[in-house]
Amino acid sequence: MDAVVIPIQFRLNGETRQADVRTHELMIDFIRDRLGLTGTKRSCDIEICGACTVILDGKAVSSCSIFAYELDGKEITTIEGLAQGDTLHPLQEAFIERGGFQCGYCTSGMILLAKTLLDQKPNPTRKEIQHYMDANICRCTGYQMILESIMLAAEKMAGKPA
Amino acid sequence: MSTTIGKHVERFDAREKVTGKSVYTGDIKLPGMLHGKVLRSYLPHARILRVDAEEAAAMPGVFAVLTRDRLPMPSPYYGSFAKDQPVVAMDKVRYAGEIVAAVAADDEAIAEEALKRISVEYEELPAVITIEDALGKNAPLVHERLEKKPAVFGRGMKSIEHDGSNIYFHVQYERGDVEEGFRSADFVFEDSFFSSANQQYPLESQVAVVDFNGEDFIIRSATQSPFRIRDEIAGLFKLDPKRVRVVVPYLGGGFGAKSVIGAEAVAATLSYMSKRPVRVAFSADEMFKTICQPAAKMIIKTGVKRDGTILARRSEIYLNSGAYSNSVSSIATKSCYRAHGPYRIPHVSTDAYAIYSNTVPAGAFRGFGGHQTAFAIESHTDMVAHRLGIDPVEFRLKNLLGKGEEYAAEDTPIDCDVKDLLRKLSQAIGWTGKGDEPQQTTAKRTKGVACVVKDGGGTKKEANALVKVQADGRIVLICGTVEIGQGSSTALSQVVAEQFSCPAEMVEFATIDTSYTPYDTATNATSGVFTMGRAVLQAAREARDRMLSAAALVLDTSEVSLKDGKIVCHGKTFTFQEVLRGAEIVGKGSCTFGRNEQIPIGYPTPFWEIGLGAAEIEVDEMTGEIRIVKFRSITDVGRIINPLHCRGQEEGGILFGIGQTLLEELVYEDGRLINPNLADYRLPRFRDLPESLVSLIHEEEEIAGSYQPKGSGESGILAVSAAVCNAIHNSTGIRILELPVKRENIWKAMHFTRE
Amino acid sequence: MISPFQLHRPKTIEEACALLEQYGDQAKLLAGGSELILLLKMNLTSAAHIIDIKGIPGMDAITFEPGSQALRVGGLVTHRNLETSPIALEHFPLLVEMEGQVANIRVRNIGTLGGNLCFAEPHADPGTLLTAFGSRIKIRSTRGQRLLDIGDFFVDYYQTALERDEILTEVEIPKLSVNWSGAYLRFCPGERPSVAAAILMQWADGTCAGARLALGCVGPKPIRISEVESALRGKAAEEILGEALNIGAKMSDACDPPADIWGSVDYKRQIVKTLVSRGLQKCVQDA
Repeated sequence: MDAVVIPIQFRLNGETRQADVRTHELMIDFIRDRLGLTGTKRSCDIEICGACTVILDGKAVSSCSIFAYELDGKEITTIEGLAQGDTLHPLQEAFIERGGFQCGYCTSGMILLAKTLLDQKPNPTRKEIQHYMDANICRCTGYQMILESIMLAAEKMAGKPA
Repeated sequence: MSTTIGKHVERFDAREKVTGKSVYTGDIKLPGMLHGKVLRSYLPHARILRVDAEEAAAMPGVFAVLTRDRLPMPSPYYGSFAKDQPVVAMDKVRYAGEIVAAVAADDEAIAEEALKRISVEYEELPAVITIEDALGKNAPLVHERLEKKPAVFGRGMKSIEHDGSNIYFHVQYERGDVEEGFRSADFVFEDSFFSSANQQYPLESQVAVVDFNGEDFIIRSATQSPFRIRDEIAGLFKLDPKRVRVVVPYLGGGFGAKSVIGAEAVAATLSYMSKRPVRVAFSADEMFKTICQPAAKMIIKTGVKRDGTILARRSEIYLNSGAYSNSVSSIATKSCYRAHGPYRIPHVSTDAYAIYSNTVPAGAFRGFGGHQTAFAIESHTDMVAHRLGIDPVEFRLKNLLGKGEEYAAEDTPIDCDVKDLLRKLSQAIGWTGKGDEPQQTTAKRTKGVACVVKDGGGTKKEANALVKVQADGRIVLICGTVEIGQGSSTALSQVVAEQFSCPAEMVEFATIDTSYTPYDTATNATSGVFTMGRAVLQAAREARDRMLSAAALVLDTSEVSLKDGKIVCHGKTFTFQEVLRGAEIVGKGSCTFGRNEQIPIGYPTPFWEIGLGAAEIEVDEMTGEIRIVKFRSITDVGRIINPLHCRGQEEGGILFGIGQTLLEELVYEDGRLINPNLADYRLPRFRDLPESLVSLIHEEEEIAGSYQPKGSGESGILAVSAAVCNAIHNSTGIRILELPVKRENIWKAMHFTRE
Repeated sequence: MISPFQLHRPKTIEEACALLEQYGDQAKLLAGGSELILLLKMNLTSAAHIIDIKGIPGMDAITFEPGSQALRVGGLVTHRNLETSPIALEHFPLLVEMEGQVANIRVRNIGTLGGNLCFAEPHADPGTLLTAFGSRIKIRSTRGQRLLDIGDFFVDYYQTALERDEILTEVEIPKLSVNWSGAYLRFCPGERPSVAAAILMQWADGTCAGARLALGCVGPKPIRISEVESALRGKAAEEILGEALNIGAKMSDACDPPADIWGSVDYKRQIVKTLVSRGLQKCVQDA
């Protein structure tokens, strides 16, 4: 059959947006191709690696396996929405300072997943971070430097001197 | 006093990568771009009787259909060692997953629909999957004919032909007289090992956007080897390489998966046929079916004296190259050269073979076979030590080459004190020196060590660099080392900044574009910091000297110097822009290690990449599960350019090693891969991090002249497997001879030992 | 690539059931989508009509009924909802523990318990524990409502007793009477659990008053081994502890696990034995 189109309204990185989406369109393709926000990446395509992680109504989800129309009435944060102008989010700063990224392909998803953790639990232990972040895969860093980045971010967000 | 070397400098790509602004090949959209998709064979070995693509070609929205009957070039074969791989299968398919057809269409949905309308008729042929299959008597030949480049080595190394067999490359290294060595030995021990085929799995799969404008190709590709791609595509279309331009955006990882042609050939052909830009992006599933690490069978035989002195070693290495050759002949060559390890052994004989089979083509993988041979050598080393009743660390210390000692005739001597590093490592892991009695069930945690040295820096590598100071005062570094995540752009820029006594932020790293970037062999073999680094250093020095000369001329005095990115003269400071007055300065540098026939491999080893590792493990006796509680690694990087990078490379390598050892394995059934996805191919995750992981980065005082940094991209992975398997042996008495370690095999071995 | 489809977003269960009846084979229900969308992407299934039931009110509640001592979990409750539910934690901490291990947090944030059960993936966690709890599945259609024991709900690999026009609306999990302890253990070398064991034991004066032992991932559906359960009744805790391995062996003999890339039949049996014996140890310790 021909593509069926439905209108949606949603908040994207703090701004209200409207669009017409095809019912079978996946969220990741809508974000990357229609909204032109290519920070969200596709890798395994089966919800395992987390490279496609975005934050939907405060929850980390795999944009590769959700339909775009699910955005309707919801709030989505992509990596592009984290920095405020030139001011980086503490997580972004921390990932830079502690080497939490190398090739960068998992980084958008990793930072957003970490944000959902710190938003719920501002002072996690290293073990809690490791357990929570286990959801996402990195092939470059060996994970330890990501843990340290998130711990630094938690300190920054708590207002402690780094 | 160093301004940037050794300091933590924010990576150039940092802000881009943490904000999602970094552009990767798959993010690029060109006007009029078509989407290319490929049809893959389901059979591992079959003659193609008929390909019918008429219906697909007639579909609206389809602009090119590529099959063996619709080839726009006279010969569709490419390959770095031998031109054995076609853009689409011609007379037959040689592995399940091989490309049989391709289409370019307005969007992916139409392209997929078009593929469904292509029908292929096959005549199935018997397939060979394992090394044993491929070497069996009357084994079907994967390639009936092969035209390959002649292999040229130095003294002591030679290649041997095997016509009419699936062995397409055989290299042999000899020194001394092994038979004599074995006769003089008190004991001779022989052990066989196996290491599985694995998938590199960079998170970004192979992808290329190619635009043929009627005259020239512009290729944007996630490739570690832009110049190789340029030359291959030029070769396919019989063009002067100048007519093929390769531009490299950021890569989402490489690890060898992007060292040879991936999606570029199909994309280029579809663009050539449609006269439109075409993007071909392989899915993760397709990446599994494009490239892998060769499965390896390794037999090591060592003759020793009672007191532990090694006299002779004979090794055989068999590499399952899969359906096409890629660079597996080079892996065989390197494995051959590395098989005797960093030990003092007068009599050596090694044979390494690259063998065709009907499986996914193998190629470069982080470590380039070094980690696989290391598993064999370092497990065998422990086994020999135990049999002699000698502590494994002591046994190594007795036989390890010292700093300045020759690894092989006329080659670069060992450039660091490996024994000292081994002692430091033993301390770090808490090696008690009483570890040689295998303890069956009482020991809760046990340790194992491994000590690996491999040639680093690239053999027969040519690296060139340009440093420009532009009229506006910006310093630009132009060289072909691809930023695959390792931080090379930043590190090399630090080298330039150091010469100009300026902050690293003043140096820009130019986008890699073969139309203006000077030639570089490829980004591999841990060659970025050392080999390219020397080219960059030379270029930076020349540019700096010219800058100072220009300043002296303009300011009419010889008393000029550089400070904080400015010219200082008689107490006054001038910007580069002020001094240049519209002119431009260029410095050139190059680094290549010329051929030396006296060296067995034919070219000198730029530096020795050191990878030592020690593991402390726990075994769950009921499930056979192995848990790495503690891991310590030590590598020598000569001199640290960027501390965060070194640690990142080392720890990333260690997790790769954990994957190789405990988790990763490509599994075939009925000739096809049954786990080409992350649900069934287990990559290391956060949970696999050892409880305590510390990577020690050693800086040797000086090596090979005044430019001191070495690389460490492949050091972390080298020692992990043997260190863990040696620990497993020390805990259970079970000797692992195959990777990955299978819980079931541990359980079975413990279960039956007890009964 | 997923083919275009007609999207329906019913506001009531009746509407949803009517749509299912109308479109039959051409329609698929969409809750979280974490299974369906993968199947569609991989061309393992197709749907000209997708009935998104997330808009139906009343299906996303978690309530505890003191009268019947049962936890009622609406079909649209996500794994993450359960994992973080104070009500579930108070009465069914083991359920919370199990739910926290399902897949990964991204899947748990949108995947529903109802959807998971309806997909009947043999390598899944919830079914095993819910089988041990003796859960019941509430099903609605235009023809009315029925309640199935979970043992009858699961039929075969990827197959449940749901008729084409039926919807799972609620899962009812009866709480065990006081003095019970439990364990949920899983063996998960890959992405999905390879073997799972759920053990619930009721105690009276240090003696087992009742036992539920369920195995999952070792066949087309989760199973309880009643012979082993009966044999445990009346045994003292110390005795059970001493016999844990033997009981595990009996459980492993009573099932028929399939060989796959994660292990041979023998090895899977060894894992069953291990998980059961360790589960029993935990139950005794927590008694």
